Amino acid sequence: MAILHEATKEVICKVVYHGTGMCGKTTSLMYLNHHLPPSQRGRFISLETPTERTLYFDFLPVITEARGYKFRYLCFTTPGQDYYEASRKLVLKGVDGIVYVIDSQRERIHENLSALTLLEKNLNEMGQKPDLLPTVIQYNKRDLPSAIPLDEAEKKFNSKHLLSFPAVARTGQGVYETFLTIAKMALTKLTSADGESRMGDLFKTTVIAQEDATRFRTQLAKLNEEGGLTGSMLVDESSGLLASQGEIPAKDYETLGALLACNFTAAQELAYNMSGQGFTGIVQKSPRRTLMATRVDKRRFLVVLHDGRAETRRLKDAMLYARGTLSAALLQVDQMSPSRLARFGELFTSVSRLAVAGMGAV
Amino acid sequence: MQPTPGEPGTDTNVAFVLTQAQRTQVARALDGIVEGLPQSSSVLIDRAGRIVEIARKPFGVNLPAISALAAGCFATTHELAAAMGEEEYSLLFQHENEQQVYIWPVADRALLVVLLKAVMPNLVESLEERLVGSVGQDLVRAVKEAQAPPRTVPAPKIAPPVIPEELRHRTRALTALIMDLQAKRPEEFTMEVNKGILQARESLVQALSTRDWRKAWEICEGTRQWLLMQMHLSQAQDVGEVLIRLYREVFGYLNGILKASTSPDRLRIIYQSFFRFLSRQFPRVLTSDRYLTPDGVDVQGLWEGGQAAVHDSVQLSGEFVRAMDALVRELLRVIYLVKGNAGREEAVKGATEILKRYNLELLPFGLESAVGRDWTLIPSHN
Repeated sequence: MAILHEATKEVICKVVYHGTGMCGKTTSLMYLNHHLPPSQRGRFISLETPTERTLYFDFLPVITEARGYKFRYLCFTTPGQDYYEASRKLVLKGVDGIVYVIDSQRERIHENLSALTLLEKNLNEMGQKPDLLPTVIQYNKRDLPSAIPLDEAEKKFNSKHLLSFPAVARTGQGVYETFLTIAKMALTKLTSADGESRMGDLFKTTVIAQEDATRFRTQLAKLNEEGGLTGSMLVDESSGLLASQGEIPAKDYETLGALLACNFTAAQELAYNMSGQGFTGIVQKSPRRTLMATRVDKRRFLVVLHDGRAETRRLKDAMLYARGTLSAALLQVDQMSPSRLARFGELFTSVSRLAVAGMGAV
Repeated sequence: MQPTPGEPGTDTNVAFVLTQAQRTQVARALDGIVEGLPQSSSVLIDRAGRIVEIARKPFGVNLPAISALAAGCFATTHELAAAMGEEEYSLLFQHENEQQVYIWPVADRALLVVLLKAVMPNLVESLEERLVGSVGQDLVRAVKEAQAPPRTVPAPKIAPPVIPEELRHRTRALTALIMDLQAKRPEEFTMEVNKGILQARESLVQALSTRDWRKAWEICEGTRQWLLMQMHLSQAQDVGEVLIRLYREVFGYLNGILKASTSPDRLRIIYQSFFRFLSRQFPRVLTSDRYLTPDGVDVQGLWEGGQAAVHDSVQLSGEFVRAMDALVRELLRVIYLVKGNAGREEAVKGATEILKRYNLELLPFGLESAVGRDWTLIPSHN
C-alpha cells in the first residue's frame, strides 16, 4: 500500500522478497545494503535465529530522490522456513511489489513450486489479488552447476510470463536490476495505462494531504496532553509512519514504522491463533518507558509512549477518544472524494512518473 | 522418525540442548510460574520460536504457530528497544475476550510465553514477582547452563565487488535502457523480446560469474544493438554518430533562419567569435578553429577532434553536448537580436522538434533531452 505525504513530499512503497528457505532473499538485501551508497539506504535490520536464518523478516529501506520528492522503498524478506508460516504471511501485509526469489538448483524445484503456491494462498488471505500485484522473478544461484536451464525454469515457474532476472545474489549479479524493476513497477501501478490515478481504499493507497497531516498532529497532541503521554504515533500496517507528535526517542522513522507495524501485526495474529478472536492492545514495558499500541481501523494503529506515570483510567479514556477521532479522519482520507481525487490524481501520477524517470539514473 | 511439531524435546532445531536434569528443573519452574492461575500455560521457547518445554499444555491451540509469532514479535520488540535506547522490554498482549499473553526474556537465549485465559486483579504484577523470585531464577539458571548444538547453517557471505567499474557502468546503462524502453514502448516488449532479454541476462550473469569481462562487455553491447533493432530504433554503433547527425541538422536549421537576414561573411564572423569565446570553456571539444566552415561548424570534425583527447565516446558525449548546446544558445541569442522574441521562440520550437526526433536514438547512450526556454540537451549520466 503506497503512501504519499503531501507535506513532507514523500512516497512510501513496500517491496517483499519471497521464496523458499535458503534461496537468497536475505543475501539479495544484504547485497543492496553493501553496495548502495549510504545516502540511498537506511539501516539494515535482520531478525534472525541463532543459526542466522530469518526469524520474522529482514528490512532495508532504499531511498531515491527526484525533483524534491523522496521515494522510500521499504524492502522486506519473508522467513523461508515452513516453521514460520504464520509470521511469513504477515510480512505480505500492504505489499506493493513482490520479488519472487527462486533457487535455481534442480533438487529444489519442488520446494520452489510449493513456496509459489503458498505465496498465492498467503496473498489471498491478506486480501491481495496476486494477479494485480506487480511481481518479478529472480532466478538465483545461476552460477551453480546444478542450476536448471533457464528455459526449463521459465516453463516451471513463470506461467504468467512475468518479468524475470537471472541472478547470483552472493556476488550481486542481477540483484540491483531486479530491485530497480520491481521498484519501478510498484510505482507505475499507481497510475493506470491511461494516466488515471489509482488512489484511495480501493487500491489501498493513502494520500496524506497537508491538512490531514495537521489534523493528525493536532489530535495526537491533544491525546498526549490529556493522557499524560510523552509521545504518540499513527502507523500504517504496511510500515509507514503516518504522523507523530511529542517526544519520540528514535530518529530513524522508517525503521521505527517497520518495527512497530510488524510487531503489531504479529501480536494480532498471535491473538487470533490463540483465541480466534480480536485483539485490543499490546503493552511493552521497560524500566524507563511503556509503549502501548491499539488498533484505529483495519489498516492503522495508534502507538503511545509514556514514562510509567500516566494515570491508567485517564489514559484509557484519552486513547478511546483519540481512536474515534483518528478513525473518522482516516475514513475521510480513504474515501477519495471527487474533489480530493481531482486534487491529488494529477500529483500522484506526475510524482510516480518522476520517480520512474529518476530511477534509471540511480 | 520425524519430530512432532510442538512436542517438547523433539525439535532438533532448538538453539540449546537441555540435559534430563535441566529439563526437570525447567519443567518445575514453568509449573511454578503458573501455579494457582486458572486455565493458564507457560511455554519456554528459544529466541527462534522453537519449543523447549511446556507446563500445562494448552488445549486446541496451534502452539508452534504461537511460538513462532511470539518469537517474531519479541524480536521486533528487541529492535524497537534498541532503536529507542532501552535495554529490554517485556511484552503483554491483551485480547478482546480477556485472554492475555505475557512474554519475558530468559537469559538472552530464550523466551518465556505465558498464556492466560482469565483476568485477575494484579495478575501481571504477581507474575513478575514470581519471575524475579526463586522460581524465575531456577529457570534462568537452567537455560544459561544448557549447551548450544553445533552450528549447521553457514551465514550468507557477500562477495566484494569484482566487476571493473567501466563494465559495471555498461551493465547499468543496459538496464536503464531496457527500463526506459519498457516504460516508453511497452507494446513492443513482446514475449519474444522478453525472452531474448532474459537469455542475454543469463549469458551476462554466466560471463560475470566466470569473470570473463571481455565476453560480458560483448554481451552488453550486443544486447543493446539487438534491442535497438527490435525496437526499430537507431542502429548506430556509437553515440557520436547520432550526435553528429543531430547537431548538423540543428545548425543547418538555425543557419537557414540567420541566412535570410545575415550575409555569409557576417555569419562566419559570428561563428568565429562564439567559437573563440567558448573554446576556453570547452577546450577538449572546440579544439581548433579549423573546424569552422563557411556554413558554420564541421560537427563531425569536432567530434573526431574531441576523440583525440577523450577516447571513450560516452564520456566525450557529455562534454560535447554541453559545448554544442552553448553554441546553439549563442545562435539563438543572435536570432533574438535580429528577429526579436517571436523569431527566437520560433527557432527554439523548430530546434526542439529536431531534438525530439532524436530522443529515442539518444536513450541507449544515457542522453535524454529536457528542452525548455533555453535549449538544452541533458546528459543523464553526468
